[in-house]
Parts: sequence; structure tokens; C-alpha cells
Amino acid sequence: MQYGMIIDLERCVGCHACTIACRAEWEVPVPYQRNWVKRLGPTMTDDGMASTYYPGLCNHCDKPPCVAECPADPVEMTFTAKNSKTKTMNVAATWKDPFDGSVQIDKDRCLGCGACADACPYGARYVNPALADDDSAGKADKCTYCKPRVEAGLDPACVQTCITGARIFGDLSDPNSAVSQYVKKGAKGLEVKGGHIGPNSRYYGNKKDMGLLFADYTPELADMASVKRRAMMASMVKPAMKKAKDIGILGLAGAMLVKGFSENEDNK
Amino acid sequence: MSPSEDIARVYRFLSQCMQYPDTEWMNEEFFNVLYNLLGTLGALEDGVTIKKEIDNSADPIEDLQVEYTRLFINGVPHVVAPPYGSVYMDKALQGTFAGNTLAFYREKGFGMEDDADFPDHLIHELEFLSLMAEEHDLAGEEEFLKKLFRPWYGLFQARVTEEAHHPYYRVIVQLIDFFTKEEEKDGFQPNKA
Repeated sequence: MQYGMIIDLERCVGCHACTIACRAEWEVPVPYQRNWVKRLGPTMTDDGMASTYYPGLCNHCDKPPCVAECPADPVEMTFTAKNSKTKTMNVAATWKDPFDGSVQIDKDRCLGCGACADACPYGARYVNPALADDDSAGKADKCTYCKPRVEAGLDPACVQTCITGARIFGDLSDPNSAVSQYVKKGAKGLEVKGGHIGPNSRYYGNKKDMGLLFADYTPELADMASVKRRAMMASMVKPAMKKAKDIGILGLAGAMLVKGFSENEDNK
Repeated sequence: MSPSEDIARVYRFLSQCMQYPDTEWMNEEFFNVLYNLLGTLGALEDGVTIKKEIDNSADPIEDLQVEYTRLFINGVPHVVAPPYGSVYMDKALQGTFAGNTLAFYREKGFGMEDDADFPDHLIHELEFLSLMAEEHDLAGEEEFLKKLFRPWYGLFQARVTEEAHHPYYRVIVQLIDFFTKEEEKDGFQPNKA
């Protein structure tokens, strides 16, 4: 079994109901997010004028690069399938479930180091400071495909709330499921450049919108050596920089670079 | 907090360190953060050197203002190390290198405020690196460092290291070097001065 989600770009109207439902369901603090909707275009593409949205979330990848980076001590964990079959594996504080294919986190064992967040090419993980404890500045967090809701027989919150039915959740390994039907029609995941990690949140749409989405948001795999080096540097500077933030030095001079200029405005 | 967010804070802090000295921000708390940072990097000596210079001065901020002006704005017979990439890459202010820098900002969805300095000013480049780190755009950060930051920064740093009278700027340019350089180089090198 492999849970997956289809996002039908032909139906998405960019209303953000999914992002709000997710935030409410999981008490995700601003500015973090487990899912997001970014507007793309309107812009001219080779296939004509394209305008769409990028509703993103954890892709619960076949080979999740985040899982391999977790430095927490592995423990033996027994997983149980719906049919009561069990499987025991050694896992760090984050793993890919052997039965439903979702990627999950054990917050009790998470160190809050953030290496997984930097390893995710989609930016789907964050370290939630609201969950800080004596040993950490927060805990890694992300979309779980609403595992507790799904186990209770409900749809994920974003799927339930979507006003146009643009989000479809189901089992990609069942050829008769609605999600598999979409894959047959051409739904595709945002696979990383030059790699294969197998994203299981997939997109379906017309050629020009899909072209725009994939041109703008095809990610690259992070260089793991530099991810590790950053994690080490970050842990060194963390106390001094926290103090710098607390006393208000950071950004005192005011930001001179501002978000919101698109490439298209360049030199016009 | 993820590592990238801590790194974003470091870039932002370094950008602040290179602002024109002013009592509004350059106060005891600021120097304590700086000493603390140097301490964690094994360069406590550098912090001590700066502290001595500051403690022995009647007006340390004015000293730094004079030094900042001489190094980066206007000096006799000429400014020592203009903090603009174009000066080193194009041998001119606001050359094509500055244009390429601005194009990179725009490609990543950023523009500049009207009262900003030229896009290739060290402060803005560090600010941009901070934004890249905040957005977890590691690839963007590395590309920017490689194409638009490192090519000139070493030349700038060498001039400051050679000509600075005040240890503060010698140490700050080395701190910036440490946080922006390629992986294969050594760690933070204590300042020789």
C-alpha cells in the first residue's frame, strides 16, 4: 500500500481552504506550514498563456531523503498493517511506514536539529518551536497525510475541506483507486532534477499549467555534505544568534531587498 | 529553528556588522554578541583584541566611524576597499557585475528599495544570502556565493586585512569569509593582528 494525493490543477481555484484547514487541524504556528498554495503566472509559455497554482505538501516519497538524515539513535519499532500483519524495523526519529508508505516523525525522540528539514527538496518540513522542550528548540513537523484522521476512516483535513474536490486521497498501489486513475491519465509528481525519490503527492492538469508548475518548482536534491556542515555551523552559532535576535540587532538597518519583484519586471 | 534559519541569522548579523557604526546598534549588547560568536568559533583572542581597542578609546564609535569612512567610503589618497563587487570585477562602480547581481535577486523574486545602495554592495549581498537561507533555497544560496560573492570577496577581504587600522574590521571580514567560503577550506583562523 502507498498512500498518495492527487491535486487536480484543473479544479484548484487557489482559495487556500486547504492551508487553513491544515493549520487549524494541526495547530501549525505562523509562519510555518504543512501545506501551501502558491500562485503561478499568468505567464506566456510555449504552449500558450498559463495561470495556475502550486498546492504543495509532503510528498511521502518512495525514497525520502529526509529520513536518511535523521541523527537520532535508532530504536526497534513494530508496525501493524490494517490486516494485523506486523513488521519490525530499526528506525530513527523519522521513517517511512512499511505498510501505508507515509513518512512519519516520532516527536518524543526528535532532537529538533532540523537536518531533515534542510534535506527535504520541497521545503515540506519545519522545526516547530512551539514544541520545544528542555533538550531541543523545537521538533520537526510536517504533513502526515493526516494519519490519525485516516486511521479513523476520515479524509485528510485538506481533502475534506477542498471546495472544488481538487484534492483526492487514496492508495496508489490499488489500480482501481481514484488516485491511480489519475496517474493513468497522466498525473505526475515533482521529481527532483537528476534523481529519483518518487514523490507520491502528484499533479494533474493541462499541458501549459503543468509545464509552468514543473518549470518553476522542480527541485534539486540538497547536497548532503553541505547540509551536514550547515547543521554543525548552525549549532555553533545558535546561542549567539538567539541573543542577537532577542536584543533586536538583526535587521535593525531595515530590509533593502524586498520580496515580490518578479523576473518579468526585470529591466522593463 | 532549522539550521538554515540559524545561518540566515548569521548572514543578517554580519550584514549589520558592516553597517556604518552608530550607537543605535553598536552598543555593549552588540559587542557581547560578537564576542560570544567569536568565542564559539574558537577565536576568543580576536574578541579580546577588539575589546581592548574599544576599552582604551575615549570615543570608540567615532574611531570606528572614521575607520569605516576611510576603508569603505572615502579616504586619502583614496578609499581602501570599496565594498562593491563591480569595483573588483569590472574595475568600475555599477558595472555589469552589479547588473548581474540585481538580475539574480530578481530571478529569485526580490527587488531593491529605492533608497538601497548598489545591488553589489556587501551589505545587500549578505542580506540576500540571509533571505535565501530563510527560504531554504540552499541551491540558490550556493549558486550566488559561487558566481556573485566569492569571486570578488577575497580581493576585498585582502585589502581590508592589509590596510585596516582597527581590529574590528579585520575580524569582521574574516568572519564573513568563514561563513561564505567553500567547504574544503580550513575553519576560522584566528586573526594574526
